[in-house]
Amino acid sequence: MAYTRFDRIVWAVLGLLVLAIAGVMLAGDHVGVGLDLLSPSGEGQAAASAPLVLRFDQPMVAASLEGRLRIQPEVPYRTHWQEQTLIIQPQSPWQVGETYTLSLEAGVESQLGHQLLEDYAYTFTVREPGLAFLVETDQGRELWAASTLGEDPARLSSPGHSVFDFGVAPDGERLVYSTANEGGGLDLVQVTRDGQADLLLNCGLDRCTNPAWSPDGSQIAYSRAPAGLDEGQPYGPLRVWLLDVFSGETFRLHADTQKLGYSPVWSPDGGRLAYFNGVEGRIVVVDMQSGDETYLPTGSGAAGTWSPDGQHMLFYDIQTVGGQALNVIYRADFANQDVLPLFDPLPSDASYSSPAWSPDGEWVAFRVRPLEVGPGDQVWITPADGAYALVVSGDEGYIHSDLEWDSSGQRLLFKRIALGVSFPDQEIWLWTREDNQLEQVVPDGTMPVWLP
Amino acid sequence: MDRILNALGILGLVLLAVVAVLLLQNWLAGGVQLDRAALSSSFNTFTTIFLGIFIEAAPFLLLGTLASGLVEVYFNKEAVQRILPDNPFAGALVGGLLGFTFPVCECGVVPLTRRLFHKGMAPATGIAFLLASPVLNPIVIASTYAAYGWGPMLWLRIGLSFTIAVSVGMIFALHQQPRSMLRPLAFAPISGGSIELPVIQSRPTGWARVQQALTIAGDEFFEMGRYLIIGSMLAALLQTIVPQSALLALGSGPLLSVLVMIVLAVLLSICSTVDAFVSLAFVGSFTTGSILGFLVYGPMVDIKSTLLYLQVFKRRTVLYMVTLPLLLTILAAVFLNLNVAL
Repeated sequence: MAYTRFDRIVWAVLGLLVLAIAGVMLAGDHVGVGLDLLSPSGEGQAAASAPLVLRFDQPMVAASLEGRLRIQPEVPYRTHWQEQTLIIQPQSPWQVGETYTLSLEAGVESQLGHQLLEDYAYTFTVREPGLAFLVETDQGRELWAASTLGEDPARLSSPGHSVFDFGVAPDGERLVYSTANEGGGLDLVQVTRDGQADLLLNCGLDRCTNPAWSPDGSQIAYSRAPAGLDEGQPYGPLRVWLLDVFSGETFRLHADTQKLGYSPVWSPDGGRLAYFNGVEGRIVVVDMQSGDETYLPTGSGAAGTWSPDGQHMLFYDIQTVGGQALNVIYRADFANQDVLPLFDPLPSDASYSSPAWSPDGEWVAFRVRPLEVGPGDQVWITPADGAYALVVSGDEGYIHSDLEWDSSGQRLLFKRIALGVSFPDQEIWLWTREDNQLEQVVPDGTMPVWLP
Repeated sequence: MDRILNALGILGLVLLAVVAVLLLQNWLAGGVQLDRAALSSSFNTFTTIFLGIFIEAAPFLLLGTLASGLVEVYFNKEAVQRILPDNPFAGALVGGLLGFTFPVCECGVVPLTRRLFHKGMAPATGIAFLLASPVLNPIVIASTYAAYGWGPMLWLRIGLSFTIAVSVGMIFALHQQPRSMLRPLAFAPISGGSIELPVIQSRPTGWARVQQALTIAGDEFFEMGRYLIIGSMLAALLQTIVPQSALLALGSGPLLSVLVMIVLAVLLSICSTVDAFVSLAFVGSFTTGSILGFLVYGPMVDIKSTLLYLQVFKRRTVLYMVTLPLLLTILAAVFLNLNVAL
């Protein structure tokens, strides 16, 4: 068939279109990759435990970050991706008072073929931690916080909210507390450190408690007890659930509804989640990657305390030692799959419990109740190998609890209640390792937690 | 009877070709030994995909042939010519706008356009209508809205499809003998009860008129339906041989992603009424431009619609109808990928 003028026009148009496509390609990428810094959100200030969270506007090629991602001064860190979000966690907490710069060099590639067109940098200074705690009032318990120690605390929970318990985000910008709703269930409410509250999770008639933020800030583990089938019927058993902070989706930790438990605790690297199963009488440690479970039989009623590398856990259990029922602290080694007493030989004159591992990994704080003294106890610390022990609070006229190290491992918060006193206050105290000083920081409060 | 035997013969040959290709694929993959299980699995996949495409498209072909029958019975040639502009460039614009009015997708639009050619519609107008209608019709706009909301994807799909359809129509408006682009039976009224393009000889009234429209629609449905079957078979065969996963693994980069998604659209041959939902699966892992390319080019050109085009237009015209929208779509999609942040 002969080619007409029309055919020539069409081929010319086709040729022009091919040239135009080539021209657009040669002109290059003018869109690039967009990114937002989700954490730290504190305008140049960051918590010692804050993960650095960057959300890209498209899926990225993880390998292209190699050599382009830097933190100055250099610190060891780990990264992981959650879809388009990059989460960077230092292997040990940022140093308070230090200024760090996160930089990302241009050229980081997305899976869609775009590149980061300009260098990105964010500088932040690590702030001093504050303190969050609960205060008992006639209307119930309120959540209070002070941005730094010594500053007057302010109420964070909304008026009329009676707080059951709470957790703090690793970036210290938000807290989440459980509080009763109109139906009798317990919801999770999120509140910023300056008191802006909003409902995070409506649990309806169910009771959601024990919120525990994952170290990368992306998930909240919590306990959930389903409401009874009819009004007045008892609540069902507690199970551990997860809330995806970015998407708002919730799901059970275990698809198997027969797996019960409560009081979840994340390992510092976020790789494992431990909780207590009261029916089986054991701590369950779940590997979040493989789903493998490790069981630590104990009657303590709570999960233990993690080592900073997430490879060990300290917990306590009741043992008969020398004919006496005593609490004994054990150290579980997940790599070697063994469990050994922290102190060897086992002490026979005191009950040791409630261990708290310092974030620098060097020390363990714990409660000691000497048998011959009475119901009171003391707070001690020991090197992580249990070689010896030092007394932090030796006054046996009190019961101590809620041992909480700060990120540097230099300071320890705890609560104490005086014995032999009607309606005693719940005092929150601070011990400083450097000068071995004790100081009362809150005259009447409970559940003290560092606000990073 | 001859028609039926003819159609059965063609279908038989296509089916034999399908079996031969699957045997060849099996032989290439597994060596000399015939793997009966793998062959059976391939054939099952082929059958499932074929039925999926055909069952999805058949109602829309029926709708198109019904519209064609109604146009034949209720519109006379003078009325159509009076409505449509004489100027072929204006005609292309009107053809694009007509796409907003008829609820027919890429299968149904072919018999309807052929009927409109018969009624005197200019080829440039018809081509613009043919390319625009599968995307711009109200059903597809509604399904795209359901998938993407009132977002840029909806407006870009409408705007780009309209622009491409009208542009291609205007290029065809440059043809000095436009009717020569059509196959003769596409526009010539064939007297004596043509089996290819049924036309009415007299103007009945009332119920008889409806019956006549239905008869024409039925004849046309079976006539175009065989090409739909063959097209669906070819699309199913290609999807069986070329797994989607292999294609998608290639899909990154501003140009390559567009090419992959366009090839995927052609291979999948999904009806435009549902392709927006299918494309949602690729959001996030494919560029916005490539998804737009999938949504714009797929309804204009795919395997089954190309076969249907070949029943109306000459081969070279079909080649242009395939390549002009292709390059326009690629240009727009690549430009979008590299210059517009969505």
